Amino acid sequence: MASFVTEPLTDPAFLRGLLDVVAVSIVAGVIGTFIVLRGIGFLGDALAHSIFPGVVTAFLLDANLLLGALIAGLSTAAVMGLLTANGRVRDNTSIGVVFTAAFALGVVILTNNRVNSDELEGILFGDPLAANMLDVVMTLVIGGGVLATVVALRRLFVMSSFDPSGARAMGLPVVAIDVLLLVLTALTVVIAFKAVGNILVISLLLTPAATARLFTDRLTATALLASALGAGASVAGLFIGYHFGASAGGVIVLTSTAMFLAAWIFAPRHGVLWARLALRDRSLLLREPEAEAEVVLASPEIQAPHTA
Amino acid sequence: MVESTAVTPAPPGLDTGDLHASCLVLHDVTIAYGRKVVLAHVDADIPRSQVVSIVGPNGAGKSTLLKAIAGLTPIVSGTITLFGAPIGTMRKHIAYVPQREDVDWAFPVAVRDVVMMGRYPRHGWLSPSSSEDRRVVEQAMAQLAIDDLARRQISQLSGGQQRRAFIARAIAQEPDVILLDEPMAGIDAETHDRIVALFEDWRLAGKVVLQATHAARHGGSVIALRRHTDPIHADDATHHADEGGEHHGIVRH
Repeated sequence: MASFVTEPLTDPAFLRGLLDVVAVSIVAGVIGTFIVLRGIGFLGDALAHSIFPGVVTAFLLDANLLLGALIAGLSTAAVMGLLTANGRVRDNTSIGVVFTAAFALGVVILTNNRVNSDELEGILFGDPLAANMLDVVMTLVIGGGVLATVVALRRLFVMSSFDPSGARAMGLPVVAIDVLLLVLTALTVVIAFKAVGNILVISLLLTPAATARLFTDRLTATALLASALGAGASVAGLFIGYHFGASAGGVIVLTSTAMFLAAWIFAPRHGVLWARLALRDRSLLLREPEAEAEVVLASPEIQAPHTA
Repeated sequence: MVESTAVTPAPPGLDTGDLHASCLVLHDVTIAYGRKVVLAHVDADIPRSQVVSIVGPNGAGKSTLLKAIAGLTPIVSGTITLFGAPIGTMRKHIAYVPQREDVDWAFPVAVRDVVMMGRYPRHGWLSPSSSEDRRVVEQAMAQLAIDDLARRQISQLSGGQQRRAFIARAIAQEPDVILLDEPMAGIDAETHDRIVALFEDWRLAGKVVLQATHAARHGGSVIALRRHTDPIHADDATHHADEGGEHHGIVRH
């Protein structure tokens, strides 16, 4: 059992991958929390897919994949900003149309060139163990910058998500703040896609945040828990993938989704099971229940016989 | 019940001295959504110490006029000034309480956080709250009797309590002009009475209160709007004047 944990740790590629995915998960948990609260998960997904042509182009040019993803991600965030500048931020249909086309462009670029299927698999499904030192450093630098920005500007994000009209009346540029959130999302997707792949990357942002939301009603707690859950799933996925030769990205996402389902069923107060049990909790009736409210007045004609 | 803030010798904001001098002035304001003109050529000259009710049927542009003053709806022509300065430069002097539907009530924030949001424009969005900020916030919550709810999540409050939290936020902004979109819609009697008492406090403190509402407040001023498609009642203006005292600010379409 001990060797299950210790043996991979002697492999430098595994250690690099571990450091990379844990750092990515922490950033993704925080950004994911703000995306979930803003209700723009769909935009994040479209953003993730639209970096595909950038990655493919960088791959064919033999350039750094992260650089290609970075350029594609930032320009996509800018286009989204323009498309949504009329205030209809959740105009899902046009976003879906435009950014599926971007993914299609990537596919077309790819099929016009002969590519080793392993390398294609790496782009689509990810391979955390393929991360080199430069990748890890870029993850730490970009991820650190994203985290610092979110923490510094958290009040702006909170105010413009919670009460957009009030925020604008206070003079906040709500549309610009939305675009900034998209840019930070793009940066997070860029550092995350090498680990879990372009198709699955959005799960790293949204799933832990959605899970954390089931456990707490507080913003800071949600973000911290999302980071912890994401990091936990990533570590588990990496070890399982290492020992069983499974795709680490796939296992990470499945682990994360299993956590979500477990929380959805078992989470205190917000879980399905909890709600069911609370309904049937007869023990309440055995002791003298202390209600929060009571009926103080009723018209005589509708009073029950024993109270009349 | 309500601690009066009535005795404020020098109201905050620009010191114009005379409480009856022009404060909020709309000059020939036209508001449109795209190519659809909602209100055209609106003139109003509102002095300090006024509670103004914007009344009219659904679709007559009550909210739209309020949003234009709040800077949420761009005006296509005309000017809106506060103390003689363009309204866009005077955001810190204005508090806006949005309509219920505009707020994400499921967002994880505590009541105290919501009221503290009123302090951000004042002390800056990036700097930590000062003890003065916290004092103003506690006082505002106490004034609306929600201090015992300070740590509760906004989602757990009743509609009336949520409204009070937002009005406490408006107090914390220490504004000269308070804009409220349907503040009396769907609230309990106690919240209603507290808001009415607060309007009077604000008026005595030299502030301007503008509310979009279905029911004009007794004793206040009225801006009446109507749609062109509605039949004209000759006594409309006098009716509102009877109900609301002086008829103030004529709106021409």
